[in-house]
Amino acid sequence: MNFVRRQRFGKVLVSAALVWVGAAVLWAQSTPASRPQTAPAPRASSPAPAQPQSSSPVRTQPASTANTQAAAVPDQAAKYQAWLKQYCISCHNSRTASPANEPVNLETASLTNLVPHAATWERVLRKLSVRAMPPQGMPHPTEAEYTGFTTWLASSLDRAWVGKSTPGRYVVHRLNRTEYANAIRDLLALEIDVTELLPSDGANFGFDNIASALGTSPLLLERYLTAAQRISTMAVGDPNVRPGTTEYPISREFSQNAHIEGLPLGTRGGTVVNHVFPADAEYKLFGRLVRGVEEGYAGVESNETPDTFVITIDGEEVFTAEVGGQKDHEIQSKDMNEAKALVDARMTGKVFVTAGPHEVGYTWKERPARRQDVWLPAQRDSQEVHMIGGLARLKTVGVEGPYEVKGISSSPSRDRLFVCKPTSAADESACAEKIFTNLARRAYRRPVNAADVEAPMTFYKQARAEENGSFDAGIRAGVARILASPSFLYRVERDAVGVRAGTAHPVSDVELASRLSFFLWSSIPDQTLMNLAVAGRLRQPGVLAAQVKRMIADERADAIINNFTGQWLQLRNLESKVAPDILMFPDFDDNIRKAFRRETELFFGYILRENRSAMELLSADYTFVNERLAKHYGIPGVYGSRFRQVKIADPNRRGLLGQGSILSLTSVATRTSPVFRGKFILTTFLNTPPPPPLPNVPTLEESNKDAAPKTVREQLERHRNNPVCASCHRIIDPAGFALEKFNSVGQWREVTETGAAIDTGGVLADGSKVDGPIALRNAILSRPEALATVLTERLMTYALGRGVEPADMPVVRSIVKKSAPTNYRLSSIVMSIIESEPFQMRTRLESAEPTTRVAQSQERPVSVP
Amino acid sequence: MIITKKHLSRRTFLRGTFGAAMALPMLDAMVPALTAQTRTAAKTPFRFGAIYMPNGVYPDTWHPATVGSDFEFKPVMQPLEGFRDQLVTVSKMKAPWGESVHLGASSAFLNGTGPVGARDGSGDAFGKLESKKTLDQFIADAVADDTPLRSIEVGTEDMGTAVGACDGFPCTFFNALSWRDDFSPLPIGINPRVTFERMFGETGSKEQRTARLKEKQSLLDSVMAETSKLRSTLGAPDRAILDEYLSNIRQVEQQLDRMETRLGTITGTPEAPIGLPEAFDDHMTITYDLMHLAFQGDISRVFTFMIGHEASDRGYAHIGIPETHHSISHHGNDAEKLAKYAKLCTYQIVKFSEFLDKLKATKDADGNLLDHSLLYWGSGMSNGNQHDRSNPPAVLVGGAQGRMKGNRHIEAKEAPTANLLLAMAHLSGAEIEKLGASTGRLDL
Repeated sequence: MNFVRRQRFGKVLVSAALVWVGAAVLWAQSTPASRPQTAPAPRASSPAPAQPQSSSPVRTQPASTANTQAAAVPDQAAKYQAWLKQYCISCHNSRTASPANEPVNLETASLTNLVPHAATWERVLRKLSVRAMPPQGMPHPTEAEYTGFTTWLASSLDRAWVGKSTPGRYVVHRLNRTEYANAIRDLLALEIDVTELLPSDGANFGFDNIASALGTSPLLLERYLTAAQRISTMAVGDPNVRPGTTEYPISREFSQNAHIEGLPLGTRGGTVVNHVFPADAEYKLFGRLVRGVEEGYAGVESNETPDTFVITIDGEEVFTAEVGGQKDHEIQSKDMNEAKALVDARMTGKVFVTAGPHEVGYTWKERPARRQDVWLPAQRDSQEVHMIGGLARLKTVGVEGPYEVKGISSSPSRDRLFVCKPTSAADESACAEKIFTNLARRAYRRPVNAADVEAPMTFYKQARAEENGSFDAGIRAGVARILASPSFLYRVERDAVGVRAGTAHPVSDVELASRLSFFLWSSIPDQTLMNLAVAGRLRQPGVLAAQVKRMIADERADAIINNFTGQWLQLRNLESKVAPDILMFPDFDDNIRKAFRRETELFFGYILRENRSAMELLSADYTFVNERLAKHYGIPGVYGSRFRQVKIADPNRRGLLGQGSILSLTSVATRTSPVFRGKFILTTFLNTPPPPPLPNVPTLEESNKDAAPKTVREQLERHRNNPVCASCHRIIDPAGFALEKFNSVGQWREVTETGAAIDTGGVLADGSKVDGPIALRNAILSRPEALATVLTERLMTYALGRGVEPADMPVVRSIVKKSAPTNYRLSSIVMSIIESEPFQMRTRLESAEPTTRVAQSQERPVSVP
Repeated sequence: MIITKKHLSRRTFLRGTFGAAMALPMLDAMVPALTAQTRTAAKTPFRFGAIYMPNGVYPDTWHPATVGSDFEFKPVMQPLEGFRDQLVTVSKMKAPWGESVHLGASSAFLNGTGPVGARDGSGDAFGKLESKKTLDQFIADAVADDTPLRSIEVGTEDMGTAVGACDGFPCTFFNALSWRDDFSPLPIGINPRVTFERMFGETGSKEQRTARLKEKQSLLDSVMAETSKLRSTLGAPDRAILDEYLSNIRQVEQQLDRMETRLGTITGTPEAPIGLPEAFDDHMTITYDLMHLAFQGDISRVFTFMIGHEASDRGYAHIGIPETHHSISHHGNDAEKLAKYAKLCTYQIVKFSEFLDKLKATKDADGNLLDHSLLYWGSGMSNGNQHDRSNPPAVLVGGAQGRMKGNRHIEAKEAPTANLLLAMAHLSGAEIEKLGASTGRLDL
């Protein structure tokens, strides 16, 4: 059954593609000259809102004179066909079509009928835009010839798509788990640890918000139910909850020698957690110490002066206890178990806490340095499990309870949820309806109808009617029902009434509001945005631009910063992938790892929010550091755990290529990896990812059994003497070698791990000679439109939740062109994407009348009021 | 409290050597509650488990030198010697390339195919997901019966922390060994706590658990009605997506119904394990323990366990290997690295053998759990240095209800791995004619 269904799906796409011509309607309106003669496109007659008017919408038609150029096309095409033959076809032909595993055949690709071969030509364009072909050593065109061909090809492709492309195919789009968590935060003022509730999502095209990759499985759906039940309970509170324990472990790689951001000044180490308390009650808050290899608690022995353990609630000190000192030393050296019980009990405080989320801090009072009693040659020595002396530090913290429940006074979740309070039993039902109407409108991101409210009301009534059922219990059940609804879990858009299949039309303002909020906030629209959309004002002059500006400034826009950099720059891998060898890098701890990520996020966020040039991603002479990171880089004069902007004096350190995040992600445990670094740069900044490795490649090592190479460089040089390896590594490695003076944790060095001299010299694919980070950066920045293009493509993929196709490339190019005069300002690129047709419109794929009732007929009859 | 985390022993990450069994008291405590499930000899269920090892195993350290019975174990497989009588190891097979250097290895492991369709560069922005139904699902069709979970898919890491590593394919191919049908991947769950809750329901008193389950059932009914209504107002591509959603809802519904009938027999209030253990060794142990419990309590008869995803960057510092799994598999024929590669693989075989020990020690009808199970441990490549698809490791352990004769090393003469998959299907009572590139059934 499933198979049949999917086949039909595939067919629909094909047939829809044949009628894409209808999408020409918008261009037809604006430039009659470019309208194809053969396809008189119907005007989208619909109540759909007018097309975007804020600033100048990005159009996909070529700048001008389509008609006059059209006549010249065959001549030009013939000329360039000969040109390709001269420079490209000797390798990219029907016989060899190299590279072997991603073949390119330029012999059969037509220059006069571009659309069927658009994917190939876009690849050609990417390579030639950064002059990555022909390979060094082969005859090269002149710079003028390069420019001539790429300009001609780009504008020919743009022209070829006019009337044939579609501005946007949208399908129902499941919220990924980041979006789910953010939506819960914005709906119910609850910070949830979504990794404990939902499985991770599939990703594609480099991002995890891609509609087609967000399938469902029984595991996921089961968890959606569990999540709905738990979250509704947390939001409403539960005075009858049985006492339980929640523990928050602290990574053993996290050093606790200095102040931790988020905790009060004058404290050292520890952690701060956002815990949701189910009721006003007594809770046992506790910390547990790291244990050494002999099971004794670290920090208890060999300290003359005790440490003071502190617990804070929302920044206020609520509990202290002394640990260590002479007496504890004696107890622990005599009997570890006795000491353990004693210390555990002492580090548990019973505290009254009100319901709802609170920031609970567990930390230590800072002592004057001379009384720290600690010798600390390297950061990670403090994590050494054989040392049970040293500073007391926490392994885990937690909350146990509730005990002696007093009820539920109020909490941010309840304040947000209970928009009314029944004063009598007769009021209850009306109030419940009001609560669900309000919640469903925000959760479903649209005005609600009677059925939307009936469903949670059914659950409300049932729970209310139960023995011991209260108003709160009823509300909880209704909230669970709303959170389990497909209207919450899926972003659903509808075709405008009366639009023919294959025709594009602007999405409604309400749908646009969701596209905006999920792009910029990875969450639901807020009231301001929703109200504008519902009133139909979102596309009034100036409104959209003002909203985007407001949204980017809002702290919820941290979502685009963190999720986009987390994936485009792979920062999410820092935790799983970056594990430098402890003996070689004894100062590398989890604090530095977190600081790396923070630095790059703050850096990208600054460029976005201040609308600075995207070129500063590589060229900026500033970055963001705290004391630990500044010391790591050798930047003087930075004190404290707070991150701040600093000027970079050393030109080698500028931009992303000088940041520890990128440099450590592209290294392995014991050394740097010029190959990983080269591949990262080619893929991320030059848009020319090297082809994947071939099956069963003959290994390099087998040919070097006689004399082992002394350095990575020597090894790779041999690699490149092997023609099979060389075809890729000649292009990959030089960019990596240029960064060799940054070690695997991003510190500057003059010799390798093994003490060998470092040679950073090399020749990039475009022939430019590089000898270090500065030259590499300049080589990339010498073609700013290429960097702007890859960034726009990636942002567009993230914005649309689908892969960017050849048909979208005219839009990408127009955005890049439009942002060129202002040096590619990042926020302006984001705005252009929002104004573009793919973001503003959807294409009706086929008529909405169901053609089959197969799925329904299998359903059990269900009675819903 | 709503989300409970219980901490595991802090001992584990301090241990310098591997192999020492770690008791998990909260799980062992459940055993008495579960023994009520034990079936009568007349209807002893067949169990199947497949365990996937990423990044290959160096063939010289694995495949025995002689064919037939009474072969001598090579070092990596050595810890399985105690199971010789119920063990068959197969060499000289050919694994399919599966479209991609790493991803192809794991995604073809249980269906001999891997991704169907091309990389994303081909221009379909919908990134179609298509593979082939996998062996474990054919077996589940045959043996699952009324178990609450038809099958369980687990792992220790997913692509949530490995962006940019999916070789241009949808990452789901990295995250899933198992496909319910050609279009429905069953991604792994990596959180033991989540797996536990799937198996046993929520924690709390019996009344609370029952109430939660009942509410879930009503939620499903109500949501299904809403979805059908929504579906009827949408175009075909959207309907196809909601159909998938609906079909999964139905599966959960059936699962909850089966769970409901079991709820009465699970007594006591089991304590759930912590979420994601920090120490990898804990994560391995607890995952195997959960699979043991699934078999023992007859909660599921089929599982797939992805030890790691292909090209895993998991560190094995806890056994003295600072390099990551993937980087050590590219050993470059360096003796020291080869030794570490072998040590890492041996560690995994030790973990496997601990699991087998537990199965063997658990009484089941007229014998023990291992007598009635078939466990398949293998990889999609042999020498990770070259991503070599020839001669991958494949070892079968278990009595398979007396259907498999042990103590044998079979040379498959370049037969596709799919032939072995067909043979396992046959052993399990799932009669299928063809799977992936199969050319016939390997004679086990």
